[in-house]
Amino acid sequence: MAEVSLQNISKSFGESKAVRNLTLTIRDGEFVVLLGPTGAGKTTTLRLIAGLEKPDTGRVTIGGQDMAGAAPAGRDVAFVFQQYSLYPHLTVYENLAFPLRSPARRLSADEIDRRVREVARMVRIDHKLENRSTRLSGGEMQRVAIGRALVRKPSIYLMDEPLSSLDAKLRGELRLELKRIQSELGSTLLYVTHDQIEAMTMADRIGILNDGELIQLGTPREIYSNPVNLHVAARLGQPHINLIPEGLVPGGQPPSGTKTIGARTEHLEIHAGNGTANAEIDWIEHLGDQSHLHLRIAGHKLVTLANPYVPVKPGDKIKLTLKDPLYFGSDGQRLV
Amino acid sequence: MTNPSPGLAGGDRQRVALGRAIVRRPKCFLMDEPLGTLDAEFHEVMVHELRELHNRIHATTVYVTHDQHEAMAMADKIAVMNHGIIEQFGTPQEIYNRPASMYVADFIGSPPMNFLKFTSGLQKGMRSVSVEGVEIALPEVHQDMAVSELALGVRPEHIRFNDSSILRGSVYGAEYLGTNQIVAVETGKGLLKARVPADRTFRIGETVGLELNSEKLSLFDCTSGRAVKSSLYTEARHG
Repeated sequence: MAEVSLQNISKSFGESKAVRNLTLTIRDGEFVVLLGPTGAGKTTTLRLIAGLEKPDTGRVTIGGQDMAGAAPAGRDVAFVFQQYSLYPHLTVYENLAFPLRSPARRLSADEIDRRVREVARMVRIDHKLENRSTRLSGGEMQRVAIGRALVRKPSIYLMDEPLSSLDAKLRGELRLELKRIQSELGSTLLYVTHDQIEAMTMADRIGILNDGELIQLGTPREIYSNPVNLHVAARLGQPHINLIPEGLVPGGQPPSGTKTIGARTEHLEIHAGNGTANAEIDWIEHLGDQSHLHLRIAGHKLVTLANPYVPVKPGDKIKLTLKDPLYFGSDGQRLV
Repeated sequence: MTNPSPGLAGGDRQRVALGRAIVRRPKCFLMDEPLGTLDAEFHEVMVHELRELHNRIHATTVYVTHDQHEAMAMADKIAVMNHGIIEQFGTPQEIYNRPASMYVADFIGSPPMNFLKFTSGLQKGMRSVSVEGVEIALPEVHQDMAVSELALGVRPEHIRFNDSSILRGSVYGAEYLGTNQIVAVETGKGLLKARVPADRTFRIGETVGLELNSEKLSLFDCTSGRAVKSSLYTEARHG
């Protein structure tokens, strides 16, 4: 495993700038997730590290070595794509063993067998080693694809939304497994996704990408609690952060220049109305473990989480106040 | 308004499709996973829009989905189907709090209900069961049962960490979600997932004590998969 560093990387395709002056270091053994919508430059970043694209400007280093002249095969990276690409004529075992059989590796048959079985156990596909890869479910195929990257011990794993084609339950299980495998192996891993839950739950650090630019880099807690601007604040949190004009809800101490207030559940306090009500419960989403209260205040709609046993119903008048919310200026930057 | 439809983003296209269904003012809307293709962020927006639309026009709607979150977020009532059979029909709260079967308990909720399997007989009036030598209080049992495979069902948010509890395990992983976090704990009875506030951080391998919220526990017969009758379930019928 190795440290991977991008310095002032830019890449354009014709008129469109896919990556703009990106500087990012993924430390040895670190799990970094790049989060952004489609077209933010996530996949291009991975392809630049893998050597599948050449940067217009800037430098990629892996383990301190400049990769400028290095072909993809010489970079010692393992790539997991969004769409699993297995060899359909081979068994699960053979698919996993394939990367180890490269003549350049010179591993003994015993060593290959040991690694294949170890990784198959990790990704929980060891009961289907003799199955043809075409006889697997989507989730199983993707586990084989991830396993095929894991049998090698490259400098860095590059993963491009590897869980996005799986159903919700399996995705939840694999998130936990992937994070655990990565920390057990001490792997350096760069993972890109548009799913905030994946980013929050797996990353040591999250990089928020927008329009080819790295907007903020930090631990999930930093990004969630201390977003640098409105764009970042809106990327994390469920329900979505409430962005409301200054002055709408009482409480808090907005610094001068505050235009917008960002209020998550933990920034909103609900009290019984008792004649001082300023808001109304519009409707309630009962999600079981918790409820989403949809509130209406002076024509604005807000959503906040509540304990499912909170005794409120649609039409109830309540008093809503702010507690240490986030403040943003007219340019969208955070004010502290 | 005057855009040809291929020029629209995915969400807008789905809005057009919904609008086309609404202008007809039909007696009933039938919707087949209309939000299945949207990405996560936009998905939440559309779930809210659809429910708010329903709050305004009150049209009878039958909506099918494999996404339990959509069902919980939008439905007045949910029918949970399994191999062509309705396993349970009720409000989202009923289904979540009093699942009629292990299938329902596992399908609804994210993460799903945890099961602790054990073998025991049951008598009416029992207020606790013994799982791996740990006595766990639960809602009063209303049914007799010969010794059989049972499963204690506990929702992630009904597990609390308490160092003095005898039920112990080691932390397998923690998933930070902002307001709260999901902590997976390896126990003698398998992996249990707890939903707890995000303010405490956990180390992998750390030993923790687990306390279950007795009033909210379900009990299942593993052979039939059905819930065992208890005061938790009968309250439901009367109230």
